[in-house]
Amino acid sequence: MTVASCLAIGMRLLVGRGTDRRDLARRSLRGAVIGIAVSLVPIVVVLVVADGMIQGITARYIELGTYHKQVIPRYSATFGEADDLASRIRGVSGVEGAWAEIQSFGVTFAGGVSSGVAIRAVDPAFLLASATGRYLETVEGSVEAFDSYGAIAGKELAKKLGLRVGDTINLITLRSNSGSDPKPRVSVYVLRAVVSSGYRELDANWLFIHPKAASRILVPATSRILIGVKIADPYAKEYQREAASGIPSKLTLSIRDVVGGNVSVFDWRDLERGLMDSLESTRSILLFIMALIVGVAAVNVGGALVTLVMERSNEIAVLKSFGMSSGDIALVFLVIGTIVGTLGAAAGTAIGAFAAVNVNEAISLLERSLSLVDRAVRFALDLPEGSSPSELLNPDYYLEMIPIVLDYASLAFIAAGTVVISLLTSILPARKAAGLQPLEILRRR
Amino acid sequence: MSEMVLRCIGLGKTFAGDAEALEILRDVNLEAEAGSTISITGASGCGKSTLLSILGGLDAPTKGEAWVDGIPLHSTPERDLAGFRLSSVGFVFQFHYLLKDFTAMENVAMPGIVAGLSRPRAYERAEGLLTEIGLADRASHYPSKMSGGERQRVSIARALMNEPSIVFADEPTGNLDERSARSAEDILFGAVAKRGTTLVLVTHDLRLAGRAEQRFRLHEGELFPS
Repeated sequence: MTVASCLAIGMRLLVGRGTDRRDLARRSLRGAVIGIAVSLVPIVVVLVVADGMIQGITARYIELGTYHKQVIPRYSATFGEADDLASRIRGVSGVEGAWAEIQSFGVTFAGGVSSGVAIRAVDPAFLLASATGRYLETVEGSVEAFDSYGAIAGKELAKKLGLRVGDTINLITLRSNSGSDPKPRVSVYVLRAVVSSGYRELDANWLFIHPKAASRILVPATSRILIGVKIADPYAKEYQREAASGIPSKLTLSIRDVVGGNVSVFDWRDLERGLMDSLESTRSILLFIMALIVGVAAVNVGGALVTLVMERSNEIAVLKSFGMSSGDIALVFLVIGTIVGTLGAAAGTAIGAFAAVNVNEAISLLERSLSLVDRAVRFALDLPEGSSPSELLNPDYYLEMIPIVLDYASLAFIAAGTVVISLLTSILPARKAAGLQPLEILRRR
Repeated sequence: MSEMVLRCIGLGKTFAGDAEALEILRDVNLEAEAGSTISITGASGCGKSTLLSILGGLDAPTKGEAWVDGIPLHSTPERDLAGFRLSSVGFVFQFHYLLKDFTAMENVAMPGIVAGLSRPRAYERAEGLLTEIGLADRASHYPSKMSGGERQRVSIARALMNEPSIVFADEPTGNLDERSARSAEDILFGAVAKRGTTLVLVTHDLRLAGRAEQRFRLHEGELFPS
């Protein structure tokens, strides 16, 4: 018997002639299709959202903070020397931008509120670069007004300190260079702009100051100097291999050539390994939990097929009596299980992808609905207005807008995996059907 | 001399019981030439259906030899019997056992499809059989929309689909009213005669049994001419 004939018989047993709605086995199989589809929706949404989040967070880190590559002098360089190295690196083929930066830490305070900050003394050209502008939104003021007396704060930092553009901001840094007897130094800046990366963890920590201000207040012992480099494709496989193996890429060798070799060059993967591992393991755990749900749903296929075998035992017996082999009988039921898995996987993947693509709108709608309910309850119970309880995703840990990334290969893998699990769970009922003794069943009648 | 399609020698069947073994068939000897018709009658539970099941390759004898269409059923492994049933044998049961999700045409064509015929070829042959049994206009009907007599006629057509050497009929008219029964048996006897197919039927109905050329009676596991 041909596989096509098994497929045709399996399809007919599964779909029937569409009039017998009371058929328990067929209802169970329809339920199994729906079960698989429903269980696949969250895994697809989680996959798309997690990938979008990881990509979005990674992009913000490497475009705004870590850069694609960092070149760190192995000697105590001044900002001017670093700036000179940056201009030389900009001439290397494949480099799209390079800026010197001094990084340190300090404490800001204003209006009686203080907050620890990551101080970033950056070349103003970096803040004005188009790649930076794609991920760093100017919420208030203008980054073009950035000067040696001014500072730019992240949105959450400004909010915490209650600062508006034009307000003064106090910054405490360490004065001593020896480290033995550190003394604080307080400097005052005018807030020129408030910026947002869309990721609260970054927006709450960053305070940008001008390099000239940095050279006045930051000492080498508590700061590091680096040259941030942007390249055409930071995700290219050759740099992935470089980070994994430690063998320098052509670009790294070219950078060393132009700056004289007395520098260390790091890829963003080296610098953000902890963050990437953390995000990736969270994603893996979520997918694993979701996969268990899909597994349970796929097992339902086996249960529904057992019901089908029991209900159709007469038909199986008669098919065997006129010569259908046990192998062909098993194949028919494997085909049915595969069809059920395929239908469920196709529907679940499509619905999941649709839900994922619209997840931002769905969350926004849900938050607005919750907010309305909250207001209605407060109004009805005569309660005072409270802070909104309707943030489903805490922006401390998530991006304000989830970037949508449809990874078709992963979606295909999930769908194929579901079909394979359905096929595997069909083996037992298929064997049961194949093992039925026609004579015993025909005698019962 | 015609070819011998069925031969059994000293055939016996014993079922293991809780207390003692139950001997259903004892030293059954039977021969049938190609194109002959044989009937076997006997009381309920005397072993008629068991004998038919053994000869049709659905059950195995515990003693003796059974040869059907040149196949030694007593020594053929179970896995090889499916091919024998597919090509050499047609069954007509008391109950029609049509597949409820398939039309009359598809039910008749099914053994052909299982045997590897292309679907157009199988449907062509099935259409011819349905025309022969007077149900060409019911080809696209499902069993649930057909009368008991029509269903049984479809099951006769299905038994003939792969042009078997021998047809085994177990109480083929037992579930039918008299008119339908007459129609079904006319079709059955007419179809096997036309093809030169051997027919072995077991029945309670002495009138039906009387239509066969050779008539036997099974009593306490032994087969006697009647």
